[in-house]
Amino acid sequence: MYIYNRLYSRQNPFLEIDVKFSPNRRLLVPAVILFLLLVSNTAFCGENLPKTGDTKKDAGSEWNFDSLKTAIAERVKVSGFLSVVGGAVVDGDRHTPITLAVPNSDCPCYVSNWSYGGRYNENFSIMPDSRAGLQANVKLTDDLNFVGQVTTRTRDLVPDVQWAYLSYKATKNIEIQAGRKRIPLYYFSQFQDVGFAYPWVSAPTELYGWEINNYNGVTARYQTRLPSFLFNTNLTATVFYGEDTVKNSKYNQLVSPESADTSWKDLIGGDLELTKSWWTLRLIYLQSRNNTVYKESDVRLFQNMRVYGVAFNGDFDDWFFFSEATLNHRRFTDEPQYTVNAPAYLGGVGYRVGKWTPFVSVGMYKENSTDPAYNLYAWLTYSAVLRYDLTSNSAVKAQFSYNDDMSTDFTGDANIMRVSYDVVF
Amino acid sequence: MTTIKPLLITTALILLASSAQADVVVIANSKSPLSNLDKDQVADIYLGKSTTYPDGSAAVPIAQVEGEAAHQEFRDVVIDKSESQLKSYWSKMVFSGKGTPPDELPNNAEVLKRIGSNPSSIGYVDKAAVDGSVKIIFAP
Repeated sequence: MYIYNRLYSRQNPFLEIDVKFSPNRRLLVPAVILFLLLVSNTAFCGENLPKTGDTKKDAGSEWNFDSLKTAIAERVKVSGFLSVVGGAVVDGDRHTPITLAVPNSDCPCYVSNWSYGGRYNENFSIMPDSRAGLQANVKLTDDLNFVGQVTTRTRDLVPDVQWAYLSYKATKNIEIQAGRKRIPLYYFSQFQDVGFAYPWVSAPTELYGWEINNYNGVTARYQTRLPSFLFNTNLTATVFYGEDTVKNSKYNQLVSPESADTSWKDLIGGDLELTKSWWTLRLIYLQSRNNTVYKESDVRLFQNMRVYGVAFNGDFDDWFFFSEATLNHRRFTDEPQYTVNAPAYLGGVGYRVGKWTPFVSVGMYKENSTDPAYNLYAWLTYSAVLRYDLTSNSAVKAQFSYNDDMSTDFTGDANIMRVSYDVVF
Repeated sequence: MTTIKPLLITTALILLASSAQADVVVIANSKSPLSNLDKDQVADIYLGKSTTYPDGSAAVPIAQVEGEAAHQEFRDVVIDKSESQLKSYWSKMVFSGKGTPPDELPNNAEVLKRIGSNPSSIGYVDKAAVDGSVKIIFAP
């Protein structure tokens, strides 16, 4: 998950930089919040509205407003999620010498979220992983829908637009979507913030969490049920094209002392998901032209990135498992050219016993490069999680992880204990 | 007295268990062109994996709220997930923008009313509640 550290391999400082939004985002955020407040208000009021027939006739304007509200309530579904996660490094070990750029002063530490710079040290904190989101699904016509989602985190309270797209049902099998969406890089990517929907307290860092999570662009989605000689398997295929830029990337702050903007451009890719009774198989390919600009030194790193991935998951009555293997390949195109390959693997198995779900997983991320001077990052994480369902839409989890830092010294080896409270509505 | 007490409790438990057990059936409007569906087709429609009926027309499943006997049995027998698993499944679908859960109505009567006036919807109710406005298209 680091891939740019080469420039800074002999430096250690860490700069905390305020996040500034580009102008279009600055406008988008309050607009979406206002919209969500409006629709949530109308949606929640909707159930108590008087029936059209028995409304007072004399209050003409009120009548119109109420029927408008009813109409909106029928078309708008508001949902939300919240995950409060607290944890600390309970035990750890530093390697020597320290060579890499993560802020070292409080390590052994554990990076739990690369995209937002979430990091634990020996002091208990809820800052690195806690997050909340609000989503509206709006049915504009029978064939046209809008989906919008904003999230906020203890790490960065400024609401962030994760989703904002229009979806048009072109045929009974094909949807065309335009706007901002999550890059479906891995199996859990599209709901990686929704702790209630997966077993861990946060998405495992061996795979999840690059500089860029979303894209602005177009997507075509095809969904069908295959004929009986193919076992009536459900098939979903998507192709997508887009781009995104992150200013003052928090990701980058974890590995370099200098602030940087990162873009993924000409992002083009596709995924294929097959699912039938107990199993799900997913394949993904994407490529993009990446560009990281270090703002003080004006150093620019251009890379052509390709990502390949496969996931195979099973869910039986009590037992379930996840397995995923991916390769992130980047070719740095400026002379002297070099490549960095980052294969990553993740596997986990769980067992449901009533309201309890014990789960264990192991994941590995390991870089290799054609450039001998490149600092290779690698780590291996074992996790054990116990989940307890408090109600049908809330759960608590306790997760213990052992993180084996296999690089020269990035975070050091660490034992991490985290607990979470997850809710969806 | 001492021998009768456990007997009474057992009888009460059996009665409770059988009264909680609803014979759930999946219904469509009596004028709907739908004939029988199988369990997988019903489950796929209720989980948003199929958005159409076998004839290609748009599927409009209607659910009942959590706690209703028909809902509980439908979830256990047809969907085969706990309430919490079902919520988890839908949170994954909703927050990935892949779909929204079926509309939920409060009881059998409301479902019958909706299906009776809406030829494109399907729903599930207690078998005992079924009337002439609807037909049974799946019985587990």
